[in-house]
Amino acid sequence: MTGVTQLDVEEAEARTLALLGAAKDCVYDTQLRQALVSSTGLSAEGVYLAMTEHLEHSPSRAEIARLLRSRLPLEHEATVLLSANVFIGALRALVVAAASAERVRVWPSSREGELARALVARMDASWLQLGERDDVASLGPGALHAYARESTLQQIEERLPPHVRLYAHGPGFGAAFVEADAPLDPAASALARDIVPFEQRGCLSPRIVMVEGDEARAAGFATALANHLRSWEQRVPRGRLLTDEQQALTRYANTWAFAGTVAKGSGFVVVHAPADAPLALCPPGRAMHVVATASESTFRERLTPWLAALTMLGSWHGALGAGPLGRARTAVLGGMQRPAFDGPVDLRTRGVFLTDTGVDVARSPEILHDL
Amino acid sequence: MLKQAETMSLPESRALHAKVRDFMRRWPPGAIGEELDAARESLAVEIGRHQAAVNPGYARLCALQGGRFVHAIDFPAVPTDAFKVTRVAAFPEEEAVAVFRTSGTTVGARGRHDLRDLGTYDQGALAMGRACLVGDLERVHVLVLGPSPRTLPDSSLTHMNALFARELTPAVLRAREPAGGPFFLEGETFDLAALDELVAAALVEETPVLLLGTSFAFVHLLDALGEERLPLPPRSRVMQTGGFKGRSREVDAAQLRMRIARMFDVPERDVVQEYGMTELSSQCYERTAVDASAPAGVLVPPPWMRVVPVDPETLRPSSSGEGLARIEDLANVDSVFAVLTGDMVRAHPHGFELLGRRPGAPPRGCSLAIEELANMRERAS
Repeated sequence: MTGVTQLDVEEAEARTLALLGAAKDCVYDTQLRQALVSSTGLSAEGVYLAMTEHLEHSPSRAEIARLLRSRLPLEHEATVLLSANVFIGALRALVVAAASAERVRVWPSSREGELARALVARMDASWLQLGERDDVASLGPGALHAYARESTLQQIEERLPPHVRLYAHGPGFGAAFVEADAPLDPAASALARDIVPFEQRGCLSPRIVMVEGDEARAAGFATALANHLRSWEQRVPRGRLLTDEQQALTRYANTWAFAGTVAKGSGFVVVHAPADAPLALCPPGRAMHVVATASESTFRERLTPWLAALTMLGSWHGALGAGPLGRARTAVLGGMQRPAFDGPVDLRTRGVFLTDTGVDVARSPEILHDL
Repeated sequence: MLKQAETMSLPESRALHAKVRDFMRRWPPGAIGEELDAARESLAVEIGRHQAAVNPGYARLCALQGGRFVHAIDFPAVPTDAFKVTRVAAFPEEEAVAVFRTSGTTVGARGRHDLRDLGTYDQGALAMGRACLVGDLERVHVLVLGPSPRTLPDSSLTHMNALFARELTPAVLRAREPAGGPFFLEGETFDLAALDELVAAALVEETPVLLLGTSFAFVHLLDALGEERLPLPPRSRVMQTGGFKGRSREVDAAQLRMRIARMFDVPERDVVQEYGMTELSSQCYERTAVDASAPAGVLVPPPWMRVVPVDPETLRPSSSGEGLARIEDLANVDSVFAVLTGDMVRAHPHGFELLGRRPGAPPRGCSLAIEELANMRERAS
């Protein structure tokens, strides 16, 4: 990528390492963890799981190097709006912004802003400061990294002045594929590992799995998955769900009890839907929609209408090429919630394409729909 | 314990339909009282047990819920979503005499409701239409601001409109209608000239008109006519159904009623709201056109239907009187008698009020909400 100025790589690396160090300090901060239990609704065990196994404080040197290579064009100032993301997402969001702007202002989530505030406080850096969320129309020249729901992103796009570059990170979901030769129980165990974190509220969280084979094989997988989720309920109890979340789960379970089969526990719902039923996503809250599929190509074909929202593809062998399925990340089952620390989690980011060798920047809100 | 059979036989179905029709005759619209409640409860339990025995899907839902099935409220209500993902029927597909479908849905699939017998549907619809729309009018000309069944054969509303047009309008008036019948909206095109002609004739003879339409159709007509009016004869009535939420705007129900009343020069009390859906066989109405004391905004179900606000989480009757509408419709003999809608309602002494969608807390996290997926697809299309 030529002709684009970036933050000096040594400065970017120093900031990254400092933020990672601050995140590491947060892991065993019991006061912070208690505050997160209150704000996120996760159980204490759920917060502990997120902090110890998903907060990305120790990426590899290779990942850091890749992240730095793909850092965005330099801005004098970047604002990071954390309106809708799982709380650990604040770390990566700050790292990405810090690697591409001289100064970074953070607008934490009003509901789950504890980690973002803790990171900024621990950093105590002159280039990094907290702010109160303001009208984006008032932003000066620079960049806005917005992590928000679709409706909020649309409002931002309408109000953003032309001198502010927008990097929009919206909601998404993950889809899983169990190949014909995948062992069912280990695959189910691995997928359960992807479902539990953040109660499935993450943009990478799997919300549907297609099992290659016949209905009996899909039924066997659904049973195994239910058993593993039941086991997880003992180790990491499901946290408090919002009223709307609970209602959606109840309605989902009842709908598919009629149309398919449902395994339900105190903290999970697994649906085995007939292969010829309309495809559906389960709601968040430790649920899964299991469907038999004839092949990987059928799996891809059925997901195509949802391309714009797909962020992660998981499979037993991890060999799914994203290919025509847009810019979704790929991973093995069990690794869907551990994306490489090589840039923004969401490769669909509006306004920018990330390539292997750097960054192509395009200011096109319609990118999502062109995929 | 609910015993499992295979399918509801035709004789069994006919017998239940006969019971429901007898019930409709015994307890016409307007009937209230403990004896009615007991009779409805008894028939509901009979139908529920039968449906659980012959419909494997319903049996699974009953098993998921667990418990004993002694009272009607014990039977689980099937979410309307189920009609979009599977066939909700207790009989073979080839025996359907009608298949009603919902209009395009946000998740891509259209819901369907198969009917094995239209006689019960028609009997109930006519009873309520006469009671709540016609009332004491000696004669009425039914005109429809909607498509004909020829162009929209799978719409339950279109079927009902055509039924009313056929059964409530005297033959001598029907003879004046266009060849295709009294339907004045095809696609997005109004046939205002033909409508105007029939209204003019009705005005001359002072024959009240019963104008049927969806809120959507009325909004578009209002947009098309602007400040123009289309006065109807004295004592005419308007039936409007459905809310209106367009891509660009939402129209307030009270405002719409006022604008309709003004355009057609009828009192607001004679603009009557109807509530029905593809997943049900019966309809509810405001009674403002036929009862001077009836409150506006309160929908009254027929005696063979019960609307229970339930807690959206527990699905048990709400202690506050507000909740998601669980509807028990005895006329749903061959599908499921208990249906869980997505509408929030508030109970009133003899009816219910529709509440707007209550904004919940913003969703947590960044996992895609189903509504967001639907909106993405809509913008991309």
